[in-house]
Formats: sequence, C-alpha cells, structure tokens
Amino acid sequence: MSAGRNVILTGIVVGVMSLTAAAAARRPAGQWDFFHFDGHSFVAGRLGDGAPSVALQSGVLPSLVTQGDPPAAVRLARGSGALLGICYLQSSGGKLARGPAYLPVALLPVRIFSGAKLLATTQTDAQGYFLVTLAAGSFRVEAGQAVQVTVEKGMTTLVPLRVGKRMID
Amino acid sequence: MQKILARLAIPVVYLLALALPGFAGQLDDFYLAAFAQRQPVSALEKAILSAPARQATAVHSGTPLQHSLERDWDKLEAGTRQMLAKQLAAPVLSGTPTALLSSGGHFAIHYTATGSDAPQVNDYTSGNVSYHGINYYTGLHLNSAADWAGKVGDAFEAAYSFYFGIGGLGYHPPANFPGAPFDVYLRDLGSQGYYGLTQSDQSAASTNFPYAYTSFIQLDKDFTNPLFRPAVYSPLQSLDVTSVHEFHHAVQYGYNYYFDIWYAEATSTWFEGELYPDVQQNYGYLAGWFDDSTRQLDLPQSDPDFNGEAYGRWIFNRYLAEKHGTAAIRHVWEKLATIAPPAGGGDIPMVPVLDSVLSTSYGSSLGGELFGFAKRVYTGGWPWPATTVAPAGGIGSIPPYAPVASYSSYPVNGASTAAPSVTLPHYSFAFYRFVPSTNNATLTVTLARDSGIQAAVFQKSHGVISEVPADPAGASYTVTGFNALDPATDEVALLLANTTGIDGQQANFSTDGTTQRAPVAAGSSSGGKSGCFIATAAYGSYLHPKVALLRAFRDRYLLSNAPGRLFVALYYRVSPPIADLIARHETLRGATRLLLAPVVCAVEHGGAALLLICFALGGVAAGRVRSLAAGRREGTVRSG
Repeated sequence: MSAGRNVILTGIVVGVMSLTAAAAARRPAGQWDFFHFDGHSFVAGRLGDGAPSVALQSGVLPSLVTQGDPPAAVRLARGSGALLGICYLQSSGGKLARGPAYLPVALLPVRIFSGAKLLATTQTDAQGYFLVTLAAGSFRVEAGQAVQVTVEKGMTTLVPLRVGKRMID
Repeated sequence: MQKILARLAIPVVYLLALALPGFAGQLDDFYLAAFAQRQPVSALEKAILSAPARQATAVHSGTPLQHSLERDWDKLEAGTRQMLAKQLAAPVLSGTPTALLSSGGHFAIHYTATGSDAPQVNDYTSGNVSYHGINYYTGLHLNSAADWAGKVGDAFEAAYSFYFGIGGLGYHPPANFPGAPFDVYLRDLGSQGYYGLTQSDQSAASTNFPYAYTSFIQLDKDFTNPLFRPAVYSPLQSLDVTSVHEFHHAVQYGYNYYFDIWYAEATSTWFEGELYPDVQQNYGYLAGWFDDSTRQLDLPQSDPDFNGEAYGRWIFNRYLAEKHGTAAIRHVWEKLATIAPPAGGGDIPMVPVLDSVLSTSYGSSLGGELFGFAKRVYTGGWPWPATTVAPAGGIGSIPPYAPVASYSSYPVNGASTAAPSVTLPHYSFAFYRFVPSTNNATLTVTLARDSGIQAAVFQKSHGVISEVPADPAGASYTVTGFNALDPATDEVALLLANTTGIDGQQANFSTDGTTQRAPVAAGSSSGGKSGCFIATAAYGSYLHPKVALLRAFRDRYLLSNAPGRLFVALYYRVSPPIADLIARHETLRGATRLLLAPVVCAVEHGGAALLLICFALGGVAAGRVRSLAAGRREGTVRSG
C-alpha cells in the first residue's frame, strides 16, 4: 500500500514539475534566439556585417535585425503566432566565379490562404522578408511558389519561399 | 446653390465611376504597348506589325518605365500583370535599350550601344587600361553593337535548329514558344565572372509539362573580358558555346522547373561540345571531376567545389550517349517532365530519374553505367562521333585518371603511408596505382569490401591496357610478371566504385593478403549542423527555439568535455529511429514535448529548475521518511 502511494506521489510530483516547466517554457524568457537565411533554409546563428538576421522569442513578435540589439519585445496577441518568411531567387552554378547563393526579391506580393479563403495579403520588404501574425492553424502561403505551413500559438514559423531560379553559366 | 451641387454630385460620381475602368484600360494598353506585349487584335494590325519588324522599337528594360510600372502595378488588370510580370524582373541595361529580332524570328536580342553593357566592336579604353574589341579577336569587320547583336541572334538560331529543327535532337521547345520571341539580354557579366545566366520567369504548365516555366537569358555583352581568355577562345567561340549552353537551360525550365542543378549543368555543358566540337572549352572542366572522383556524381550545388567540379560531369552524358544513343539524354529529361516536385518545393533528385530511365529503357542501371564509365576513364579509347571532328589534342584532351594514392614500396597493407582503404559516397569511384618493382615477381591485390563496391584491376604494359580477371571468389587479383614491367611507363591500377545510392560503402586492400575492415570515415561527429533528433521531431522543426536552446546547450556544455561527447555520440547512435517514430505520431510528439519540458526548463532556467527539483526530491524524501516512520510504528504496534 505504502509503495503504491509512493509511486502515485512521485507521479504527481513529476506531473506537476512537467506542467510547471511546460508553463515556464511558454513564457517569454527575455532571451532572443537568432537565425539567418543561408540561401536554402533558416539556420541558427546571427550574421554580422549588417546582414539581416531574425530574432525570435517565445510569445513575442519576431524582429529582423541587421545590427545592434533587437527592439523591445512586443507580445503576440493571445492565441496567435507569427509567420516570417523570405522570398528569394535561387542562384546556382558559375564556371569561373560563384555568385551569391540567392537574391532576395523585394516588393513581391505574398498571399496567405486558409483552405480556399484568402486570409491576408502582404508584400516583401526591400530585403525580401515578410511578416504576418495569424491565429494558430494551418495555412497555405503563395508567392510564386505555394507552401503549406503551420503556425503555433506564441511561436514564429520561418518560411523560405523560392520564387525563382537562375542558372549561372 | 447647395441643392444644385448636391444634385450634380451624384452624376459626377457616376461619371467618374464609369470613366475609371476606361482609364485603367488605357493604362494597361500603355504598358503593354511600351513593353511590346500587346497582341495584335485585328488582321490589319497583325499585318502592319509583322511586316517591317526586323528592328524592334519596343522599350525593353528601361529603368524609368520599369519604375513607373512598379508604381502603377496595383492599378493594372490581372491579365496585364501576368503578361508584364517579367518586365519588373527584366535586366536593366546601362544605356538606351534596343531589341533586335533574330533572323529566324525566335529571339529578341536586347542590347545597348552606350555604357558598360555596350558590346565593344573596336579596341577601347576603360579606366586607363586598353582592351581589344571583338574585331581584334575574331577578324570580323563589325561596324556597330547592332552587328554583334545580329551575331548573337544567329548563334541562338543555330542552337534553336540544333535542339528542335529538322534533323535536330527532338527536344521540346521552352515554354516561351510559340508566342513572343525569347528574350536575350546583352550585359557586362564579365565583371561578375559570368558567361551568361538563364533565369526562370513564370509558370507555364501544360498537360504534358505540368511543371514548365518560361525563362529569359542574359549573356555577356561581347566576351572580350580577359577573364574569358579571348586570345584562346575568341568572342565568337565563347558566344557559340554559351548560347547553346544557356539555351538548353531554357529547355530544361520548359521540361520541369524543379530540375537538379548538377545534371542541368552536365547536360548544357555536354551540348557545348556536341554542337561546337572544335571549341573544346568544356574539356577544361574534366580534371576537376577526375581529380576528385571520390565525390558523389550528383554534387550538390551548395558544395564549395561545385563550380570547379560539377561541370566536368558532362562527360558522363557523353558516355551514355555513345553507348545508348543521343536520345538517351533526352529521355531522361522527358522522364523528369512528369515528376512532381517533393513536398516543400525543392528540386527533384536526378540520380533516381537516371537510374529509372537506364533500367526501364536500356536494360541497364546507373550503377552499372558509372562502373563502365570509370573503367573508360582508365582505358580511354573514347570514340568520336562520325559527325564531329576529334579535338586537335585527340584523346589527350580528356585528362588521364587521377589515382588517390600511388604505391611503389611493397607490401601494401595497413602499415603503408597512404592508407589502402576508402569510404565512398554514393555513385563515386577511386583509383589506386601500383608502380612495378623488381622485387615483386607477382602482385596480388586482395580486397575486403562492402556489397556496394565494385572493383576492377588493370594492367598497363607497353602502352596496352588489359583488365586482370578476379579469382573465382572475386576477392583477389593476381598479376604475374610484375617485376618485368617498366616502372616508367607501365603500371597496375585498382578501380573501386560505389555503384549504389548508399553512402559510406567501404573497401580496403593489401598486396600481402592482410585485409581488414576500413576504418569508419572521419567527420561523423555530431557537431556542426547535426540536430537534436528527438527534440526536433517533438517540436516539429530544427529551427524551433527550444531545439536551438538544446543545441546550444549540447555545443557548450556537452561537446566541451569527454563524458559529454560520449553521451552525445551514444545519443546520436540510438536516437534517429526513435525520432523517426515520434515524428510520425502527433500523440507521441506531444508526450515527448511534455517529457522534454523539465529538460528544457532545466536548460533554460538552470537555478530555478534546480530549486524545483530539490523541492520535488525533498517532497518525495519527506513522504518516504513519513512512510517508513509509519511502518515502524505499525510494526511496533504489531510486535507489541
């Protein structure tokens, strides 16, 4: 009987710990995580030399940072997440010289659908990035290419969108 | 007065509402005409537009007009936007742009006579440095940039006939045809180190080509930049091979936008030599591959060595074409046309497509063909198609094989300086050379290999190459009279090829009968971009902040010490199949996230987590103590 009670007690403690930790994990920790686009996908780490990097924090609107610290954190609306993407032209090849792996595409319209319904339309900035906040759910993002993405509550989904391809040499 | 204004307001609003679509239509017409995209609407208009049209007068790629188009974009109708979309992406020339229609009417050559993009017909000076123009290198007597644009048009028409004309290769034309002429822009690409580039434009899906795209081409203005070695390859020769190369990229976009980069370059570069065998520029890329043949056939375009090595893979197409006919390569592209891109919109790996075509249409396989090709690399003897002229350098234009290691002291075994072992990625090969020695009358090469490795041994004696048969078990090869061979000219060579799509196939060999498993390839550590597999599966993305947090913890606290590295190595050995299972079940993903929460919490909030764990352990311990005390009391009562 006492052994069974111990097992139950331990289970409750672990359960409470897990729930507490899960709740803690959802809170903005005040720490930014940096990612950058490498020509194919978003990878961890921050670029120097004024190149754009994405600053992420749970429950907070993501920021595009070129230098210095990210701006003050702005909380995402309750129940919503963020979708941050880049539209780029993939650049490959080169017999004599290798060009940049990609070219950002500026001022490109980006449309976000939920099923067949057009939810939002935005446009890429001068560096090819776009940002929208959405209620948590599954969406189709269209900008030359269409991809299906999932936005989670309080989280940022990063989307690389290849909108063209160029063959050098 | 107010009443009169109020009554007038309604008709004015109506009139404006009625007039706006009219203005919109005018705006559409203006831009369509300016960019020469408006289709003739009547028979008379068609006749007028088609009669004199050698010198096109449309305003292509003019900066102010492009800016206006960008500004007015939202005011245009959807159809107009679709037609003009490429104008926003079109290259901007340095001076007033002019478009010349090629003699066959298939190409619009866009050029300018002023600024850095202007083709230089005569010698010129730039930044106090004198350069020779096109006429100097070609012996042509061109008078203007327009004359050179005409030559560019001729080169593209030749490529057009080569691919699609009567007696041509039977390729499907790019999705740009039929319709407006294909756009080619002459620009100063030499300053960037490019011969030319072909860029996708718009989706042009059709029943048989559901993933087709249109495209346009940019070409260096005149190929007189010293980078192009115009004294070796005249500007006309560079123009010829670049036009046939780039135009096949346009063909490729027409088959399937999602083509694999390495094979696209291998095909385009192969055609340079097929249409212009006397130029032989493409032979210069072969050494890059042969010197590094232990790299996989389908070198990814992100590889730092891509531009030095991937172009050399054209000769594999030539091998296939010589064995199965030129149409074999076209069949590969035709097969690709029907294949949907992978989820996420990445490119379609070409290796399985090649294997599929070779096995279904030619009773062969990619592995078998690669092994045959690797043998040909050693034996040489490339036949020259009857319709083409062998290079002036003959077979010497194809570089000799490049051994990974060369042995001259024996026996060769695990103690040799150059390790007699290799781990090969998929579809790759390696050569090893044995220099004759007077001390060894017989050379026996003994092999231990994975099932994906195929091997061959060659003997070269007095310039004659023969393949040495394997013993019945296929584990060793014996060369008699090894000591009688001339070390200066003769040799024995071992070929090892991974003829499968599986990476990490290993082989080792010796000449004294001692063989052991090849060592596991270095570089399989968990550092760098390797992910936390289970966390990635649980959180759904390598990029998830929590996964990044765990990765950072791994890199900082685990990989910095021996026990941590051991733990990580063990984790990476056991976790992939578990992660695979988790990723496939949403419930498992949720449960794993729950289980990982204390770990994440501990990593993220170290002090607080420690306090919480102490509190929890304290609670458990207190409960345990109380339980034991109660048990003792109970025991005491019972015993009492």
